[in-house]
Amino acid sequence: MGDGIAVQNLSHTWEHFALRNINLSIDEGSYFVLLGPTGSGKTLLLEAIAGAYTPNEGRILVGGQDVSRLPPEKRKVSYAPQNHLLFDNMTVRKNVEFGLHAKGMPEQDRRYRSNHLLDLLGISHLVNRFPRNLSGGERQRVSLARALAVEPRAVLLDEPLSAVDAETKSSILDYLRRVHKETGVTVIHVTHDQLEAASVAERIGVMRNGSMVEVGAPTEFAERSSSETGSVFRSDNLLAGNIIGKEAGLALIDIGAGKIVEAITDRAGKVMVHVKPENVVVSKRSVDTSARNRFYGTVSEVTDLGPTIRLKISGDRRITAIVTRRSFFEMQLNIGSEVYAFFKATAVDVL
Amino acid sequence: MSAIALTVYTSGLTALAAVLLGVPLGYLLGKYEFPGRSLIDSIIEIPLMIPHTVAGIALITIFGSAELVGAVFYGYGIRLTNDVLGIVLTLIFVSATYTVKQVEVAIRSLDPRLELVSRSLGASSTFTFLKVTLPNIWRSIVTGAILTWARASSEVGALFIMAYYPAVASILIWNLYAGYGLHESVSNGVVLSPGAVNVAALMIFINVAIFIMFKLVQRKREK
Repeated sequence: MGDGIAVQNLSHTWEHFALRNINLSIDEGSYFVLLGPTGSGKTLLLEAIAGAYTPNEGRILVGGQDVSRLPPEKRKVSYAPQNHLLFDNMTVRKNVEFGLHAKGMPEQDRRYRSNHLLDLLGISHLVNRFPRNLSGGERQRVSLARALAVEPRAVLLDEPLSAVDAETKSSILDYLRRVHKETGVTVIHVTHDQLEAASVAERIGVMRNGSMVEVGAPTEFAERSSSETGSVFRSDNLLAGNIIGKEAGLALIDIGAGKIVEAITDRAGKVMVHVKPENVVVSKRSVDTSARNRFYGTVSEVTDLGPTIRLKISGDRRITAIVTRRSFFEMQLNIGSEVYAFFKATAVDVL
Repeated sequence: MSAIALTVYTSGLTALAAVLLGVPLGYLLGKYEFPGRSLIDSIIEIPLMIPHTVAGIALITIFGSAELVGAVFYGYGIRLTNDVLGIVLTLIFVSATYTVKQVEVAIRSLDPRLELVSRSLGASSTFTFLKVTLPNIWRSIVTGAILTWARASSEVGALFIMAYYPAVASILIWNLYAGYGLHESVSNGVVLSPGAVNVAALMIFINVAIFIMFKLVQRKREK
């Protein structure tokens, strides 16, 4: 805890909202995700760490030093706000070098440091452009480079994947992983998206109504979501796995309990996998199908969603499927029915 | 001609003073919520709502040579009425509001996170103001200064009471009109009045020229 970031008994009250007794310990060099719905207070907590205001109660420690009453410029934490807010009156290079310029670093040294980050984030070709001429993904990478340039103790990323399309999201997530690995900087990343959190976080803190309700590793949350321990982290079919090999272009992902999931990915090592429940096909018989993944289990829970029915299928791993009401009745499914669940390798998101 | 030069000079000084006072005040009002903020805001707007002769009366009851503040200055030999200082003081009161309000609105519309980003990157509050805030609000400052200058150069009501002499163009025009009528007046080869309408036309020409010059500078900076 000593060298990372710690939040101790932090409380702050506004007219219509309050952060309540928040305690958090983030190891130096780790990737921490603050997860919660809109209005849960995660951005306000991030702003407290950045120094936007002094909390009514509690302390914030950065590298063991109490920074609760220090101005933002003395905290050594870089803030990258939502919507990739850049300095519109400056070129990309000037944005990235802003903090170095503020510290009086000579131009040659600034260039050297910014060039490395511009290369790392693939934005070297944009140096002379102004922010108004950048796409959402490019703006986000500039924002990230600007935050990293000053070599802070931590970077605070508020919804870094907001306002970008799905493809760009995936590319930015790759950049975030790469940057974190290369720089070793502590990252606090705010999001409302559970899958996004699971895909990058080493640890996740879940916020609700101004309180920190759960903290744990994504794998723990995946276990909890599939074993119904009352976790507020809900993401059906989110499984922790380890890529153990490749076969005919497909990655083989060991998800424990002797089960292997086949998926298409370039990733290696530990990953999270996710399958949308509506992409899971249910059958009472083990039929020949092109789907590469097959699970066997018993229907343990049935939830009526109106035109569709959600089934929880308990076996070696718990799988959730959504079927139409008509299929549900035609197949005469019910709690206790023994079924097979299939899904294609192309339906597996590797996070 | 000297009255017009005096108008341009005192209006210019007023615009400059409005920027020097109005930028920090507008920044304070636009950025922070504090007890009494609404009261200060209302006081700043008062000159827009009262007749300017009333503004002149209000000023002279404070700054007159025998009054509360004026007497103190007069004790040091400084007259706050009927002098260039009196003119500028009056013009600041009746026209600086435009600069303050322009800056206040600009600060309110500026995303406060911009300054937080800058400071989290290690920039001091001064560096942040100069490099981040100012480039975002300078157009509003210039617009405020132009409005202040334009309003100041057209002021007459409050000056009648606070600083009748030396006469700025607006007062001179009134004097010429009241004393000699609209047109040039010559008696026995002596020019008694160059004509209120002629001075007014010259005044319009000079004001429009300065206004266009400001606008051109503003447009050039925007490019």
